[in-house]
Amino acid sequence: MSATVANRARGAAPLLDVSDLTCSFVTRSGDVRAVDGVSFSIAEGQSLGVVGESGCGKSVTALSLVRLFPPTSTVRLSGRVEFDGLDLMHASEAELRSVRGRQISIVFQDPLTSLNPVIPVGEQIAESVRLHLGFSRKAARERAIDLLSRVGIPDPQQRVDDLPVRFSGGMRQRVMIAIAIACEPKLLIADEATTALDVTIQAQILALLDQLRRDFGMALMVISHDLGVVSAICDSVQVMYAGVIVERGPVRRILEEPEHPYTRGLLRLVPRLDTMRHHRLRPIPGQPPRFLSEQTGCRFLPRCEHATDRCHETPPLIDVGHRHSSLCWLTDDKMRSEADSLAPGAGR
Amino acid sequence: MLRFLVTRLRDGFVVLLLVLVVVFFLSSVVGDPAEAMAPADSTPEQIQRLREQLGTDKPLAEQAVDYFGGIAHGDFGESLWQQRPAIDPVREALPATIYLSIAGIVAAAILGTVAGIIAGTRPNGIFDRVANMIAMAGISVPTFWLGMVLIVIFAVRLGWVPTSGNIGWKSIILPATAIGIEHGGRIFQLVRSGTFDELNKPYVLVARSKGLAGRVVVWKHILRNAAVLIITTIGWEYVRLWGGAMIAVEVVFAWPGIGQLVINAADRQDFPVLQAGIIVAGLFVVLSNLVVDTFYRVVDRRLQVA
Amino acid sequence: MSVVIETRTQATSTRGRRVRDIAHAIGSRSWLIWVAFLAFIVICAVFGAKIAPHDPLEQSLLDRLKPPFSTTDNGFHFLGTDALGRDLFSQVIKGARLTVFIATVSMLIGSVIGISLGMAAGFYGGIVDRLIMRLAEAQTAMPMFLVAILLIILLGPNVINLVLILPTLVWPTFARIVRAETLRLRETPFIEAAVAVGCTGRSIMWHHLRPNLLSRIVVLGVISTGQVILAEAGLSFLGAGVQPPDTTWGLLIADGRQYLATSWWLTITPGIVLGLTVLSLNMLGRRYANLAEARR
Repeated sequence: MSATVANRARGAAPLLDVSDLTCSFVTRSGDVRAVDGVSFSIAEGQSLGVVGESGCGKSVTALSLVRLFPPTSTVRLSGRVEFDGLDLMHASEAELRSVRGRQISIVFQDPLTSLNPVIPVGEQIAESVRLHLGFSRKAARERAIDLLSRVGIPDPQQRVDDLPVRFSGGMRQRVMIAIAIACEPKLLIADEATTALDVTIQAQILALLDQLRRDFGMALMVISHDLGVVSAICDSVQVMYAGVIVERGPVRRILEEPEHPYTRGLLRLVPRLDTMRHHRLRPIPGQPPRFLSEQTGCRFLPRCEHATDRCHETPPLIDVGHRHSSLCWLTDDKMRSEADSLAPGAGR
Repeated sequence: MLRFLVTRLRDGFVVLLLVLVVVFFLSSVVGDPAEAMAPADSTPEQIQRLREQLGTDKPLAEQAVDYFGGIAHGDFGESLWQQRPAIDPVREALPATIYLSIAGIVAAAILGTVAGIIAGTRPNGIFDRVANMIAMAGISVPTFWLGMVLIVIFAVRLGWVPTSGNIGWKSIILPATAIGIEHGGRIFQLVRSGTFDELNKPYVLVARSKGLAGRVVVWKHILRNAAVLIITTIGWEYVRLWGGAMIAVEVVFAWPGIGQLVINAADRQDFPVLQAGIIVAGLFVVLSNLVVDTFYRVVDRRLQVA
Repeated sequence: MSVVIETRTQATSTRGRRVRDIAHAIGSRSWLIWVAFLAFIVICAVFGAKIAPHDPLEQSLLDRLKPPFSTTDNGFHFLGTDALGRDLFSQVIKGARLTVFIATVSMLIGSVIGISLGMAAGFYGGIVDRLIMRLAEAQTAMPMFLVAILLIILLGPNVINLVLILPTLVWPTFARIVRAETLRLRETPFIEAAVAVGCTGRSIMWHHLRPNLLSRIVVLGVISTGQVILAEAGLSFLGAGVQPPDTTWGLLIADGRQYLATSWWLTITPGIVLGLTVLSLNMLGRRYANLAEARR
C-alpha cells in the first residue's frame, strides 16, 4: 500500500500506460513469444475492450501487467508498464502483491474452478479486505456480506458461509466479481469473464460490471474473443492478432468502419439481425501462427484475402483519425489516396 | 450416513470373522498344532496327550464351536508357555504397540506431508529431486533393516539413544524414525503429486491475484484442498502399519509390543497366544480402516453435496 | 528504454538452466544404471556360487568377522567375512539366486491369479465380480503379514511354502487394476463391435484386452517383484522364511543382527544390495509407467 505513490506523474497521465510490452515463455525448445511489442493506455474510469482469437496474447498481456503467471512457468518480460505513477515492470514481488487485488483485480474465465472449493465464499472475499485494508475478522465478514448483496446474491447473510458448490455458475461469477471489487480497485480486468456462462447470464454479468464501473469509478479492461461482449460495455476496443495490436479505436468506429481485414473477419462472426439475410456467418480461413517467428511482414498475411507483395514488409500503424488506427498497408493506401484527393498536387 | 456406517460395520465384522476362520482353520486343518508344538523327540502318546490338552482331538465342528464361543467371551485359550489366559500377554503388549504405531505414523505424517508440499510446489527443483530420491530409497529398503542402520549410527556409534527396549522417552525415537522414513516416503509421493495437481488449478491463480503471498496460497489454499487426500493417505498408512509393517521393527528394537510377542509365541509354538495376537491386530486393522473410510465419506460428502 | 525483466516463478538463471539441462540429460539416462544393476543381480542369480570369488560355505574361524576390503590367507574379501569366517560377498551372490527365484515365481503366480480373477470380475460382473472383489478387499483389510507367519509356521518354513504363500500378498492389486481396465475397455466401441460380430468371451478377452493391459501389467509386475522381495526378507528375518543352509538376503540380514554392535557390515551390506535391487525395480517400473502414460 505504501509503494504506490512512488513517482506519481503529472496531471493528465493515464491510469495505465503500457509501451512496447513483450512477453515470452521460456521452454526447453526455446522461447515462445506470446506478446510482441504491445502499447496502449487506459484512462481512469475508461473501459477498454481487447479482442482476438484464443492464443493471440490478450490474456497474457493482462497477466503481464501484474506478473501473474502459472507457478511452473518461466517468463521473459520487457517494455514499460506504468500504473498510477508506479513502475510495475520494475516493482518488487512485494510491491506487486500490494497492487494485486488492491489496485488491479482480475476476474477469470471459469467460475467453476476459480473459487477455492473448500473455503466458504465469504472468507474468500474477506481475505483480500483483511490483507489490503487491515479489516478485523468481523468487519471483513460484514464487508463480504455487503459485497455479496452488491453483486446481486440474494440472502447474503445466509450465503456468506456457504461453500462454492452451493452456487450456480452465474452466481459464482458474481462471487468472483465481489472478490475482485472488494478493495475498490482502480482497474478491473475481466478476462473472458462471461465466456463460460449462458447468454442471459452473460448479459446480467456485463450489466453488473458496467454498473460497478460507474459506482466505483474504476477503469475496466474487458478481454474477450467476442466483439459482441466488448461492444456492449466498452468505450474503445483494440484488436489483437498473433501478439500484436492490429487495430484500435472507439467501439462505434470499429464496428461500423473496420479497417483491418482481420477485424472485418471477426465482425463477420458476429450475428447481426440487419444483415442476417444476406450473409452467412463466415469464419476466417486458416489458423493463427502457433509460434511467432522473427520473420518480418504482416502477421495476418497467410490468412488475408487482400494480401499483396508489399505485405511481406511490416506495415505501420496508420492513424485514420477519430482516435482510430490500423496496422495494414490497405489503410496506408487509403490514407494516401484520401490525402491526394483532398490536396491535389501536394506531396504528403 | 447411518446406512453407510451400518454397511461398513458389517463389512468390518465380516473381515474380522474371516480372520478368525482363517486363523482357526489354518491351525486345525492345515497343520496339527500339537505336532508342531511338541518337542522333536516326543512319543506319539505325548503328542496325543497334548492334543487332548489343546482340544484338537475333538471333531472339527466341536472345536470350532468351542473356539468361537470362547472368543465371544474373550477367552482365547490358555497360553501353553505362560500357563495363563492367552489374551493376557496380548493385552499387556497392546499399549506399547499403540504407542509405537502412533509415534511412527506421526513421524511419517510430518515428514511426508511437509516434504511433499514443499516438493510439490517447487516441482523439479533441487529439494524435489533430493526428497524424491530419499522417499524412493525409503520405500525400497526393509523397515527392519533401516531400523538396524539407525541403531548402528545413533545408538552404537553416537550413543545418543538406547539400542533397544522401551526405557524412557528416547527409546521411541529410532523405531518411530524407521517407520517414519518408510511410510513417510509413501505419504510423500502421494502428497507431492496431489499438491502438484492443486498447484495448477485456477483457484491458485485467483488467490495470487488477490495479492496473497505464495506462502499463504500454499499453506492455506492448497493445503486445505489437499487435506482430504493427505489425511486419507495417512490413514491408509496407519492401517498398513497394523497389517504387519510394525512387527519386524518391534523385533529389531526389542519393543515389548504385540509384534514381538507374536514372534516369540511363534518361536515357542505357543499357538493360542499367536492366534490371539493376530486376531487383536486384525481388530485394529479393521477399526482403523473403518475410521479412515468414515472420515473420507463425511468430508467428501460435505464437498460434493450441493 | 526497454529493460529486460525475467520473471521466475522457478529459479532459473541461464547458468542454472544449463546445469538443469545437463541434469536432465543425465536423469533421462539414469535408467541405464538401474538396468545394469539388475542385470548384475540376474547374472549372480543364474550363475550363483560359480562366479563367487570364494566358496560361500567355506569356513575359516581364524578369519572371522573381518571388515570389508580385508585380505586374509584365503584372499581378498570385498565385503568382509561373517562369524564363521565365510566370505560375505560370495554369500550375497549365493543369496541372490534364491531371493530372485522366490520373488519372480511368487510374482508370476500372484499375477496370473490376479489377472485371471480381475478379468473374470470385470468381464462377467454380477456375483462373480462381487465375490472376487470382496475377497481382494477383505484380504487387504487383514493383517496378512501375521497370517503369513502363522501359515509358514504351520506348513513348515521352506521355499515351496514361501512361493505358495507370497502370491497372496500380490494378487489383489493385479485383480483390481485388471478389473478396472477391463470394465473401461468393455465400454469402448471396438469391444462392443467384437461382441456384435459374435466373438466369444474368452477370445475377446485374450485378443483385445491383453494388448491394452500389457503395459500396466508389466509395470505392476516389476514393482510387485520388489514388494515380494521385501516381504520375503521380512519373513526370513523373523524366522518364518528360508532356513539355513539355504540363504536369501533377508536371512543374511537376520544372521548379521547379533553382531550389529561390532560387525555392522554383516547386516548393512546385504540390506544395501537388497535395497538397490528393489529401488532399481521401482525406478524402472515408474519410468516405464511414465513412458506408457506419455504415449497414451
